Amino acid sequence: MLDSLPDETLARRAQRGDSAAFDVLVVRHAPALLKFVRQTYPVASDCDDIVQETFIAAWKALPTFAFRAQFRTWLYSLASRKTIDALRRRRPQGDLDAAPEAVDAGPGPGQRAEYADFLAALDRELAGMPYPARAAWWLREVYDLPIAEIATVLHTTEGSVRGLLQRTRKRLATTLAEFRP
Amino acid sequence: MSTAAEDDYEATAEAAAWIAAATRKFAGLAEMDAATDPRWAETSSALSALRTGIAQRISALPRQGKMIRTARRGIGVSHIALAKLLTAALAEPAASVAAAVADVELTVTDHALTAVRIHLIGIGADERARTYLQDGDALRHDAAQVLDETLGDHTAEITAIWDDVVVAGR
Repeated sequence: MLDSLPDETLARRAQRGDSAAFDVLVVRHAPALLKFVRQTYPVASDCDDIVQETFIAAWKALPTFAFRAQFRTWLYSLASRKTIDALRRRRPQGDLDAAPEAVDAGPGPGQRAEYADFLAALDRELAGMPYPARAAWWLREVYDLPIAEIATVLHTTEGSVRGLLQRTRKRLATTLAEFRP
Repeated sequence: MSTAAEDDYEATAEAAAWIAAATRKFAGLAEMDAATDPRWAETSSALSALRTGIAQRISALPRQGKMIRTARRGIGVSHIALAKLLTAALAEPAASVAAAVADVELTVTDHALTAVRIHLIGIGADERARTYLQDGDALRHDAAQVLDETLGDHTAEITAIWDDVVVAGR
């Protein structure tokens, strides 16, 4: 029965310490969250830890979660914060606005060359962009989150998200033009 | 906007749409390859390990309950315990009327229970022997009895809410 309950009901139960309800939320959201973190953080082996820390932070903060945002949005927001923290730890002197490292290049050997090359190029391009730009791009273009929700996740304004998306789209349109059929 | 700027805007929008569509398509293909590609097969075991790790960590972080006064001096009940008790006590009567208790929400003000909201889910869309109103009311009375036995008081406002109806094939 728990599987059929909406996020908000499960979150209310988890607020009171119902770990079975929280486990359903983990099962429901961890796969997408893990993909999102892997797409925006350069070291694949650290991503599981970032997602685990995200859920632990959610469990700790749930008693004060006031349901002003959707549970999913709140979770992505926590994951985004944990990813930024991890990026800062990797480059204590660095600048989050310049991320030169390549993000994990997605599907590896055994994939068809057609999309492996495209995804590798896409990942390379996004990896060179600041974290908010690549996170906003994935959340909007692939996860189809509304602009307002992305603004909540990234702790910024809707106008800022629109600006980030516009610049990212323009850059990708130029650099990935060779892959266009 | 000039014609050149419009062309540029349209070209970017078209390219952006193509890139997004291709990424979604390729991401979907990657998922379809999960069974054969070891890298994506790892994701499944990674998720399983994650689930276990999270369960272990949160088991060491118990919730703090809000204390509710009872009619008997010196005895209190936490809102966590009372919600669990109500959920368990209402499970059978709910099942007997083709329903399930999704959640029991409690409002506690100054250590006093002021409201109980019973969230119900109807099971199946078959014709019912009694109405949702009658079944909801019966469950409210069952909840009042549990409160009486646990707190010695059932003055809190009790509301039964039919949140959803689960039908076969959903």
